[in-house]
Amino acid sequence: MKKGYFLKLAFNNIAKNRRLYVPQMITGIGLLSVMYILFTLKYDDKLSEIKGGAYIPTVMSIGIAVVGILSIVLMLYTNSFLMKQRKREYGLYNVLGMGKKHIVRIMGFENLATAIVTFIGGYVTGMVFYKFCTLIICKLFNVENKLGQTVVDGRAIMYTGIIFAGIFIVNFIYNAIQIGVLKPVELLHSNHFGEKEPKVKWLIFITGLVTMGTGYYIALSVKSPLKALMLFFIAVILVVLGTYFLFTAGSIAILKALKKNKRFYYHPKHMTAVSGLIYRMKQNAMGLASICILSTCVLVMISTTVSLYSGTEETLNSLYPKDVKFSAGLYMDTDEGDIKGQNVNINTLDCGKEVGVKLSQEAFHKACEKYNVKVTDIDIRRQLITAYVIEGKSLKGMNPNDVDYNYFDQADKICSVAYVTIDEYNEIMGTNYALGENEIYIYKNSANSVKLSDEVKIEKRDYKIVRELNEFPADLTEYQFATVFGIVLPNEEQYLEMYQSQKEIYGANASEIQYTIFANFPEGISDDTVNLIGKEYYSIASSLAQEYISTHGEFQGGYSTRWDSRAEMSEYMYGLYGSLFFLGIFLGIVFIFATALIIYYKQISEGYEDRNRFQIMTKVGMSKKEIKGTIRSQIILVFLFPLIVAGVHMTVAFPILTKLLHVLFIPRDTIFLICTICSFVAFSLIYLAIYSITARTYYKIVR
Amino acid sequence: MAILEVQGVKKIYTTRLGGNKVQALSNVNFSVEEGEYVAIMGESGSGKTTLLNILAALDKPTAGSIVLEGKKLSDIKEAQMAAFRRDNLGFVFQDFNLIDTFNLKDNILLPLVLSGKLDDLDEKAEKVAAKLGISELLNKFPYEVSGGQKQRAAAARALITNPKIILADEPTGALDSKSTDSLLDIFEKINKDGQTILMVTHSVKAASHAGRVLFIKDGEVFHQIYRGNSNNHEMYQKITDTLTAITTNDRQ
Repeated sequence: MKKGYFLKLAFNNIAKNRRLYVPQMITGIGLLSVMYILFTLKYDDKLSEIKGGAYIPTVMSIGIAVVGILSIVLMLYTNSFLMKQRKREYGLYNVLGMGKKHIVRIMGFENLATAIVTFIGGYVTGMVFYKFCTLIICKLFNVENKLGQTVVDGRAIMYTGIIFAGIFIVNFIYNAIQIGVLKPVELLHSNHFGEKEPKVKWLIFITGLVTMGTGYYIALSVKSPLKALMLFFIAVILVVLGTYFLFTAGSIAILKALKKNKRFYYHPKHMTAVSGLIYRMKQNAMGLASICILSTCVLVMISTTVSLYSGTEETLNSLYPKDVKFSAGLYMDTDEGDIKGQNVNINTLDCGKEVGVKLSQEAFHKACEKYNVKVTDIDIRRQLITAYVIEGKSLKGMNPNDVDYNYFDQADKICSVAYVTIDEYNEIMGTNYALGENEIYIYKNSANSVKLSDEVKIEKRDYKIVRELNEFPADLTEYQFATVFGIVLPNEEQYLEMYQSQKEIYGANASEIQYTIFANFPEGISDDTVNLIGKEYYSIASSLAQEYISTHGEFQGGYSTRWDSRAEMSEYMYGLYGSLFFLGIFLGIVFIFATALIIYYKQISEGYEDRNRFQIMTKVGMSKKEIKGTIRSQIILVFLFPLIVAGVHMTVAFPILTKLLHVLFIPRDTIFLICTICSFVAFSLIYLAIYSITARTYYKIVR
Repeated sequence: MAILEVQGVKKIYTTRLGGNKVQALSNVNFSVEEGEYVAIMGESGSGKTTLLNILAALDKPTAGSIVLEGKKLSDIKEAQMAAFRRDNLGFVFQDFNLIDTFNLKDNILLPLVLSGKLDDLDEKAEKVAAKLGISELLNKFPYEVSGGQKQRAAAARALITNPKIILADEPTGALDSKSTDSLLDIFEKINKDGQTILMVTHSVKAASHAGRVLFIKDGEVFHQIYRGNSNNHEMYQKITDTLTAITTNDRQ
């Protein structure tokens, strides 16, 4: 036989089976273009040079991994689905006298044609949309778009090509094996009558209840962000497993129970639906569970990334009340380092409070002078943050030797406490409060879930809590995921007493009082100038500190200087959150697409299965309208189920996700709540649209 | 009184583009009395199935009328058609048409449930099952029972609504000879109980159980024979003779 004949046959086959092939090609093109875009974004040098662009390659690598896995799963799924539908056709070729070798050749041509379309379509789509993606990124990063026209990237083409060529080869081998083991006679005579009614698999059902329950319990019971971070993935895995188990076993158990209830079951609308669903669930439980998981992923990704991004400005405001933050200090040498493994900036009282202030102030002013910038708006704040163990009503310093460094267990017991005096508080917040001798105000950060009554004992002193504060004038940036109390003390003596007592307990590991300058620059000062002033400050403060150390021989230790500008932080946050936001939306779209594809294939396979049942019911005396009605309600139920479960998952995941976001500085939970609700509503609408579009194909088959 | 009257029924199929016209039925006239057992015979392509579909209101005739118990089928509105068929007609098909997701009991009950007659379901199912000898099989699924048993379940489904007339399309077509015999016995039995049956078949054996046999050829009722006092065997002989005569006439 001539080669041309096979080629022609292959093309004919694709054309005739376009209902199956078109979605496969679209899937391939979509995934390949997404992969290409992600790789190009990763390798685009010009893009990573924009402000905040340094995060793009890292974030895109995450995307590449996710899309890579998704591509493999989806491409194998569509291929095996296609193969299942076409086996009978191949069997017929075999019966008609075509050797398996020839069939493999035809199938090879079909696969090759699909691959070629996918590659060309995917690369072209990718290149077209790449430009569009960079525009969006620039918009998200708050930078002007000054990018060149780089659209074609050799490495991106190569890596994408390797991945997809691999997938196509695996599919081809799978198909060839399928044809090899094909028994044509069986295929031709087989029909789908005689499928057994599924039994309830109690073991899986119970396992599902247990895994899902445990996952939910973890999600709902976690109190501290640190624990949330550690347990989140365990909870996710448990819930994913639970979803699969419950969809497969639980659905059938419920339906069987419904069937046993005769008064419910023997009803025109329920009878066909319930018994139909029992079979439907047997074949579709896995697919539906996948739809449910994918939907939940979309919701989590979109709601978290959107709220991270949209909360950026607010987070910046809370972290940087002013344009810049400078601090300088000296620290003593310690043998072990401090508890958190970071250097704590200090200006020891021993060295004199003036030294810290002088050091920072002098360096700051000198730096500003050098660049002719006049700064009038300056705040100097001192900060003392120390650590305590919570024991009932009292906060106690802990013996460093007793401290269990396993934070996982200690996270709920250890807290950080920031102190200010009432005078400082009034000055910064512009209030006019007064406190009695044993009275304090208390502030709890969002990660803090410790419940204190009206009284608290700190070290040796008993205090009465007279007010709970919503804001606290201290820089708690580094303590976002720790349990933090902010305490306003009545006077300077008690402030120093607190400092002394923790000093006695922790010795060399004790916290020191730190001075930080917050300043606003006048308008019109460019970010570059701020950077220069920062660098200047850094070097002046360093030399001042060195000078101090060299002139004070008794001081054993080093110095640290530090400066942050809002502009720098803003670049960091817009860069990181912007890339995450982009990736979240991008992957969200890809996942929605994957969901749509699975739904589409489900509709097709259900359509072929239901066609027969549909015809029988017409003959037995059901009108077309009635049948359409029952089938519609059945299908809506089947497809709404994953969406509803995804909604439940999302609701349960909400508390733990909120805690996780605390690690990433989201200050207000309402933003996240709004984002979650909005993304759920939007997703539901898209989902229903996908459903109604694919349902049309279903009715076409059934009719 | 005639329960079913078929007058001048004509059916012409037109291809989608209106090019070719195929005449399936040219002019069919006959009537069925209450309690009668009528078989319609004819070769493949003679228009049997078309006729049955029209009688079952699954298809509309191009011309002519069908009157069931004084009611013209063409007068029934589309929306009420399904309910009308459910209440007045019972169907038995060659390939059983049992729904594979229902057990036999649910299959039998389906027409009742669809019409919303939900009283005494269990009793009704058991009664009709006992009549057809499938009481033991009610909880089995179609794939678990033999072809003959499936067909008996299908007959039970047709009977359960007490229809005016049972329309059977080649009911023995997919059965072995033993199952065929037992099904035909059942048909005879329910006919003796007063059930009107109209059966389309090309099996001489199946037709020989009927009280009257109509022969259809080229879209027309060509001939009919009555049982009179003959037994099944004699009836068989009569039918064979007629068929031979028809075939021989053709050759001339």
